[in-house]
Amino acid sequence: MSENNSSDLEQQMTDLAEVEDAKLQNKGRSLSQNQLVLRRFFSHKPAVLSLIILVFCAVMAFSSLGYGPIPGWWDKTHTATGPVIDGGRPTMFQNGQILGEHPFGQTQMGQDYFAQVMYGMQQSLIIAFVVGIVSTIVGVVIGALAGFYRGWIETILMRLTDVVIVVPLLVIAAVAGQMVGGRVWLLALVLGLITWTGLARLVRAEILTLREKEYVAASIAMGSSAWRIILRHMVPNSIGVIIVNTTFSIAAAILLESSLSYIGFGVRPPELSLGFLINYYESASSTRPWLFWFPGIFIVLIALTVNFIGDGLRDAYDPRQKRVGDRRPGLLRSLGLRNRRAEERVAGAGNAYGTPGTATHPVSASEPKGNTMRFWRKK
Amino acid sequence: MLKYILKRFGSTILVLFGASVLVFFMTVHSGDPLADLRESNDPDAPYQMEQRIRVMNLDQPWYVRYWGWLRGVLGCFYGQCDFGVNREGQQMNSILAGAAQDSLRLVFIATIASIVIGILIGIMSAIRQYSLFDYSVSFIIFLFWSMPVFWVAVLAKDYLAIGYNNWMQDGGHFSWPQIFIISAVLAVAIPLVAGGDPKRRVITGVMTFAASAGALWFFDSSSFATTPRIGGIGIIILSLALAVGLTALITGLNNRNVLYTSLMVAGIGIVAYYATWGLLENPPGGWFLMLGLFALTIVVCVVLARVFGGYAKGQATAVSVITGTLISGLILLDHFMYHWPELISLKARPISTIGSHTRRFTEDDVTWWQVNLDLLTQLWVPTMVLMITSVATYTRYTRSSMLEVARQDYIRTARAKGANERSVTFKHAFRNAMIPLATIVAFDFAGLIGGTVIMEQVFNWNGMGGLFVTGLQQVDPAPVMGFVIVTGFVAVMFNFLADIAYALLDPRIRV
Repeated sequence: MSENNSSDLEQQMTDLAEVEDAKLQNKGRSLSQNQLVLRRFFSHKPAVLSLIILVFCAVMAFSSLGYGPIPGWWDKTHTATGPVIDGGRPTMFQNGQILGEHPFGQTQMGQDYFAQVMYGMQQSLIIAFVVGIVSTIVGVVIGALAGFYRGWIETILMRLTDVVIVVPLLVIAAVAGQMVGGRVWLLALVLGLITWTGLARLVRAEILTLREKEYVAASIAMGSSAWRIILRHMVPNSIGVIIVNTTFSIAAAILLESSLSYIGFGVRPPELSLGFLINYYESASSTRPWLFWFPGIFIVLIALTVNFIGDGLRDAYDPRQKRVGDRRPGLLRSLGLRNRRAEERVAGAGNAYGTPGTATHPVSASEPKGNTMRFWRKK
Repeated sequence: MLKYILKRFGSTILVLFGASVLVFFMTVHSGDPLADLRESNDPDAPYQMEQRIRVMNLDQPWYVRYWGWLRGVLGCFYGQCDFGVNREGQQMNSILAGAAQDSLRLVFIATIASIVIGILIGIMSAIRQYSLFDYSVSFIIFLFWSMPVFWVAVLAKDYLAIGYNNWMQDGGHFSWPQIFIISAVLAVAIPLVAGGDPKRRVITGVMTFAASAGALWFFDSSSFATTPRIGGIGIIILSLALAVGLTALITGLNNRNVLYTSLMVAGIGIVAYYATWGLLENPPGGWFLMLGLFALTIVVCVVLARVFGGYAKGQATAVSVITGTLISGLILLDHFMYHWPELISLKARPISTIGSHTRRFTEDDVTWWQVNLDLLTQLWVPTMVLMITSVATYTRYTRSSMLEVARQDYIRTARAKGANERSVTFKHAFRNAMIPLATIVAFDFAGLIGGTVIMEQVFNWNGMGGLFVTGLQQVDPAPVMGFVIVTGFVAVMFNFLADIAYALLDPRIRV
């Protein structure tokens, strides 16, 4: 498929480069590749909002209880019991206070649930990020080796990938989780060692196209070693794919870890994670629903924000996926209250007399790259 | 082609073998299979330990145990399957057969339903790209991808299933505010999907509101929830509507050959509804009879289309087969509805949140319809929860695949030669957009199998997932391997079928 489209895509990339050049000339300064990516990322509003929420959650989780020897600002711990006040109901936003004594309520034993959820979130975040990093490293190494060397190395590595893929992820993760017996860091490491398969395939595909490029041939001609070519030329050129997939694998890892802890092969007491909390208080979901709701909401929140960040990164690294020249519609038009054609008429009315040299109709400029699936046609 | 298939098959078997070695090794080394007996104070414990060591061959190294297990499984090739024994010494064959039925039913229904729903929503979303509908769908996809399935399952069990039971026990009536809210939501949602200019949207919205409020009022006053029926008149109207609607959607009403064929199919369906009523009331052979009748329906549809299709035989076949399938579904649904009050009288709270079926229903004093209705009522909540990730996946991929295809030159050519939008969307774009989806099906299937493990845990089913979880907890390789090999085999077969479908659909990769 990609070969057929490559000329099309190149054309688009050229268009895009011209647009960017024109913008730069107007502003009178140039930007590096990374600056461009960052700028595009920060113009993606859902992704930026997600980043803020995620950072807020992480800071709250680690600063409230502290980590290791560092103390936090919250005065209760996840283990200490106390008298159960008001049936353990959450005190958040009650009686005019913001947090209150037990913002997320208390367990049957009188433990502070805010402390438990924050502690669980720490563990879940640690696992998710370690899994993301480990699986990225393994996936990139295996994918790069298979793609660069081809031959029997590729055959063996890709068959190995198939073997790991054929077992459903949750199943092999459960077996691995049972092996390590609930130690958080070890669990994270092991989960990272089984979730690299998707990235390995993607990186291999990317490397396979990169190794045909001229600059790689030039590098070989200059006598660079294989590692130098891989590390200096190939990995940096596929960094977009790698970073975007790391993000998505972090979101998947949060869900995988919580599912594992739920069926009993993930984090185990004395440690706890968000999934473990849900499992542990499942039976209380009708009598003390907050014990069930809070950890679940945080899992959804973390996974959702990470997914949105990944989406924003993908748009930033791969702008050709966006439709060039087709502006996203405003609120009124997405609600269907404002007709597309009416909007164009308004836009056209501004320069009703027309400027010399700009004879293009507002529609026709965006026509080929607009939504070709729309049902109305110009008569 | 044959060489390609054989090569694929060979590598598939190798991969499955590798996976089984991997899982066996990991399971055997995941803990101490005698842990519970070592802690036991039972004076009999040493004897039990000895017995378990003998049953599980614990005195042998892992590769000898693996070889013993593999020999039994390889027997499948000459008709003597032996999946070994679990730690109590029970034969896995019979346990697996019972468990596999429940789990695979759940996975298959979830797969098919999510493919259909996901593709439909994906197409709508692609057609209305950058509309509010498209944005909402994209957001919901991300939300579904970020939901822990077990959490949703517990919520569905506690609120949806139990809420439905309470509602049924109270007689299944809508209150006026409920009717108003449901109709209002539909009146906002449907115009967003239907599109058009503002005036048309307002008209659609008002009409939707009136229609849905009227329908809900009618269902309520005829106590549809406890005594639902489509009935003869309903079947006649719906069959004709399906015939006309599908013709309009796929070929357009101008194509008289196709229209008359599908109307004929509808007519035969209506006659068959009355003719088979007595036979189906007490179906001899159960699902086999149903499958036989369904196969007959398909044959009749194909023959009719071939004979009366004229110049449009291919399209006529597609339309009449889809019409025939849907009308068969309607007839089956009407029979199930006819028996619904009997089920309610046996089970006032229709969904029991424990188990895949009601145990007392397996006896002979309940009819075939009640047993299967019971299965379906137990099935729908887990299926819906299991589907959320898959529906999101299929929607997303259909949408992007449709948008990708819509930029191709042949779509522009189709428009340029004056093809109307219906045929551009369904004939040129949709068919080609389906090609990459064939691979997604295989991947998604493996994910659903993982999901059943969780579903069975939440809803207390005794399926494959339960087998796997207890087997792993007890460090007992036989149930774990049984799960891996059965699900792995089905997943691999799906993958294999997907590859062949891919090769058939896309001539470029044919070998």
